[in-house]
Amino acid sequence: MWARHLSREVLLAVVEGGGDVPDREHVERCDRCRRDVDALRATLAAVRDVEVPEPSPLFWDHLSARISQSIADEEAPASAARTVGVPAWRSGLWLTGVATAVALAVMVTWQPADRSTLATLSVPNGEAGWAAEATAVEQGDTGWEFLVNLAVVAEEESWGELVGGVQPGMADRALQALSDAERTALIGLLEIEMRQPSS
Amino acid sequence: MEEAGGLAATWPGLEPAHAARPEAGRGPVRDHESHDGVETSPGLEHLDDVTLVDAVRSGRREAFDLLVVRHRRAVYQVCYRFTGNHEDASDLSQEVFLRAYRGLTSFKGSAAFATWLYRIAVNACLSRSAGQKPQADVLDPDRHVDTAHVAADVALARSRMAARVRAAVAQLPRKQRATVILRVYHDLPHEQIAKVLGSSVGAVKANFFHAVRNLRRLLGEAEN
Ligand SMILES: [Zn+2]
Repeated sequence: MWARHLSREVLLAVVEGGGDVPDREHVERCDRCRRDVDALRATLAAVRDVEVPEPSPLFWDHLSARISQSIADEEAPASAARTVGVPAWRSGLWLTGVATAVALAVMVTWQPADRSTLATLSVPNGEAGWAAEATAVEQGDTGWEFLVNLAVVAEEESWGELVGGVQPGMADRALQALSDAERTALIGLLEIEMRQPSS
Repeated sequence: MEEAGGLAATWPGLEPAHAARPEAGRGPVRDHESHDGVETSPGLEHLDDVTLVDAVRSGRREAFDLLVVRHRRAVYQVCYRFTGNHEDASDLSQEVFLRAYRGLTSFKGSAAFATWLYRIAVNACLSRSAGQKPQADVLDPDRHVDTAHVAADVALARSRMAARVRAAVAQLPRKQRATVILRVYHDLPHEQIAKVLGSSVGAVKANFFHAVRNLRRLLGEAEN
């Protein structure tokens, strides 16, 4: 008969291969504590015996790549534009930037040789006009494509360069390259972006 | 028995001494396959975790890639232990590293990076599993074991036992489950587990004791 059996903390220590000498001796002589220790050891052994299946060797680099990508996506929301689609692109801060840059280029440098081009840049009247234009653009006409390309260039070349690198004739050339539909789309988008409260 | 298998899951750089000097002594257990396919900047490989963290903070993103390489296996294994399936484990692993990256400014360096990462992993796993039962990968032993094989019976029994153990661990209360996973499969000292779980060493030992007792009961029930 034992006055006191081992506390659970001491039992655990013995089970895990530790414990003081007197405690281990107690376990050797006390049936009850020995049964406890044996049962706990057996349970631990059974639990320990379960392996995590080894994933494919390719998995680890794939995981690294996924992590790296998720960080990159988070740090540069604009980069998602190319793959995620139009809504993310449009809500991106940098669209305002691109629009402003183009507007700046137009305002600062454009010296139209032919004043008649101004006619094609005239702004439709009223909200309905803009809404219609914006809808048309979102549905994927060439004007939108042009803006996306412009945006990608802006993203890759960085903002300061785009604005700072404005050269006389640049906007002119850019605008000359546009079709009527593209010009209208561009103006519509510029207007929409400029009316949005800056965040 | 595969103590080696189980304990090899030990977190790299777990003990602060090793975390600080990963190249010293036996060093941390590193991903064996880790360096192929991963572009890491020359000169970073032999830096310890804390120095790499500093490098990330000063703008060297590639230093984080190296931290991922070092710890991805251990993170994945913790996640797998909690979720019981590869899909969720890999999603959670990604989430853990993303959380770590976001929270890097809050890493003080007083604890080992591994401990800090464990904490994020356990929290992520516990919060994910709070509302759902783990969906274990379906490992139908009758389908996966070649019954004509001599060792089929052994493999079958082992596979069934593994399924029972996983189910039993999944039934444990959250802190007990976390304690068992960290102690048994990752060989963390009780003190380290206390840091990860934000409890006292006494509480960890009590949790572990109750966990093993509960497992014994659950496994006994499953037998009947
Ligand atoms: Zn006793």
